[in-house]
Amino acid sequence: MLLKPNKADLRRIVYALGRVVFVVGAAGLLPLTWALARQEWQSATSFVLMIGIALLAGAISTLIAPKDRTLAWSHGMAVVALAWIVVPALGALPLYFSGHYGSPLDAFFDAMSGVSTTGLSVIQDLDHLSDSVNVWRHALQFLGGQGIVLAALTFFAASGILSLYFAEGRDDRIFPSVKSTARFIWLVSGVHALAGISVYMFEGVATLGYGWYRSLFHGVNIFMAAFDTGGFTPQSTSLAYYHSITYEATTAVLMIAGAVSFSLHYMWWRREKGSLKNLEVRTILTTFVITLVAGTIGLAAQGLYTDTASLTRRGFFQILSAHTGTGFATVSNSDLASWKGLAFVGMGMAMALGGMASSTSGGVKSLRVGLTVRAIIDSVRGALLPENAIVSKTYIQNGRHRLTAQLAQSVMTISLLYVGLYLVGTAVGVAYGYPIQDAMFESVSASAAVGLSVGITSPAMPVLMKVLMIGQMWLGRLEFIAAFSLVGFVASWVVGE
Amino acid sequence: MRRLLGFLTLSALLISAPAVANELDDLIAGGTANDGVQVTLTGELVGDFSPRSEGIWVQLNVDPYVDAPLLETGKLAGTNNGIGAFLPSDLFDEGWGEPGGYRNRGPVVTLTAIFRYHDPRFQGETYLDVSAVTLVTPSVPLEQAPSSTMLVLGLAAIAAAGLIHFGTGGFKRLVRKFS
Repeated sequence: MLLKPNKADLRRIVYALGRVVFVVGAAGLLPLTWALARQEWQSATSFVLMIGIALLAGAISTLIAPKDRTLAWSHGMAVVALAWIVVPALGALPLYFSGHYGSPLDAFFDAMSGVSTTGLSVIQDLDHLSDSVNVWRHALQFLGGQGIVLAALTFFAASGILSLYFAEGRDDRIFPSVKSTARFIWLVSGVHALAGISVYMFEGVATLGYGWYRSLFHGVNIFMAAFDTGGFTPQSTSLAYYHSITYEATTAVLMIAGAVSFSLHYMWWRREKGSLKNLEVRTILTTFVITLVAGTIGLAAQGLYTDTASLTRRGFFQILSAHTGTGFATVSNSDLASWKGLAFVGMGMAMALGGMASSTSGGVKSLRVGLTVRAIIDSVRGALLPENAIVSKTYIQNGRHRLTAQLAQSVMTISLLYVGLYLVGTAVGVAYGYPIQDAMFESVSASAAVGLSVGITSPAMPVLMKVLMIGQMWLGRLEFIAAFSLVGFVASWVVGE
Repeated sequence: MRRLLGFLTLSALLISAPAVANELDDLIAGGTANDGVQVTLTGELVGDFSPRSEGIWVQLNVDPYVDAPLLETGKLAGTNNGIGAFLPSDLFDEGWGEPGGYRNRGPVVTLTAIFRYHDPRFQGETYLDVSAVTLVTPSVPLEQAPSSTMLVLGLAAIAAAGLIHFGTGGFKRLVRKFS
């Protein structure tokens, strides 16, 4: 029997959502300031409207707050799942009012793509978008990559925040307190921001020949999209726009930093040794090498690039961009669509597997891949050894842990759900008449929050596919559990007693 | 009635806007077959002019916004369609004006160029290797009027949020927190 949530449950959820919405209002100050500084008055008014709605919604949520604001596990899950719908809905307002989207759904698509750090876009005439709205698109990626709820946790203490933290797809706590962990994550991001934007500015002025303002504009945007493995760019030709190997190298470093788990950042921060022994690090290095080799051999076999330098530069960057879940491109959509055979397999695998757990990237995640492989190997070993032999089922991940049957089952379930999501998207794409390879590429790209496209994602895409891809981005970013919990919560509200 | 609603919903879900293709699409899609072909393309220079030691990188957009800028017409016509173009420094003229962006439709030029596909000279770039440039129209300023309705609604919402916050003891809580 399902227990029907009472009014106090709903008020707790609305109150917590109100705290999260406040953060959107605060985040809106960045593009508003940018708009005022650049005298982009139309954009400025749209940011004022968004901030006003966010603050008003937050204030109303305070009015109905219950005395006991403690969040149970189910409340936390529902709050996170709803937050990842409400925040992009609010964030879509300035996008829609920019006049660059064909419908509110298109603006919501881009906002969801932004906060989920996917990077697919249905914006039209991006090259004439105002600077401040462009900054907002990238700021949505930064906010989403850091974790919207995590951002709220940094500023608002609440009872039961542990559920919010885990519901947002983070698996480990660096410090005993969630708030301290959140602050450490912001510290790491801040240091990378300072270093990254400085380097981009220097490159902008010294090698690309831009002025100071344009160097800052590109630097801020590309930093936010690279470190948070988002993949939006201020210009329509993605990272190919810059025609610069040094710009690509800086971006590659930031993409790697973004795909690395924050607990590994903590190990590096403290100069602790032994990170290479971690199962997750070994897995991601292995899968990266495998996908890179497959992709490079595939490209060479196709004869798409005639010299080693071209093959290495284009192949390495694209595979890295796919594996970290960033989605920057230094080749055109039609180029990507022409990657066949092993080159496609390498790209597809890199996108599907994704970065590290508790990082800013999406996909199945390396830890799950490593644990799945480990569980399979242990099972095979168990079957081959004598019946009374004892198989040691442990793995190293910031210390030695037991690989229990329950853990293996949970990891495999999530991995299978990702595969299922990839297949559903592929089936719908094929039903709409797209070639199976293209449909699969786009489906994996959306579900694993990558953002590379072979050309299917466009304003001309059928509405149902837009809705489906929004769902894929949402589910993929939340790693299913919070979304399923929300469905369960709604079901118990409707049919519970 | 229910069937009619169902039909209308399904139609709305299945209908898609028409895709727009143009000569630049065909050129890039042709790939290796078009490598080394001489082309003449007219389009808008957008983004930034990026001077390097050997020449200048620009982005040429060949899309409907060249003739009908979004801020002038308010009509959306799909995504941008652009390609990098590399031109020798002596072909560049500062009189073209600012490249296209939010504040202006960039200079419209006709480029005579060789289409380079995955060129080893720039480690696999696909671009236009420009040999001649003709200015069609210099850069034109664009304007977008602010919306007073949005501003009034936004400020009203902020004021209402402030009233609720301070009316429910928010100010006292704020003072207590920072004292």
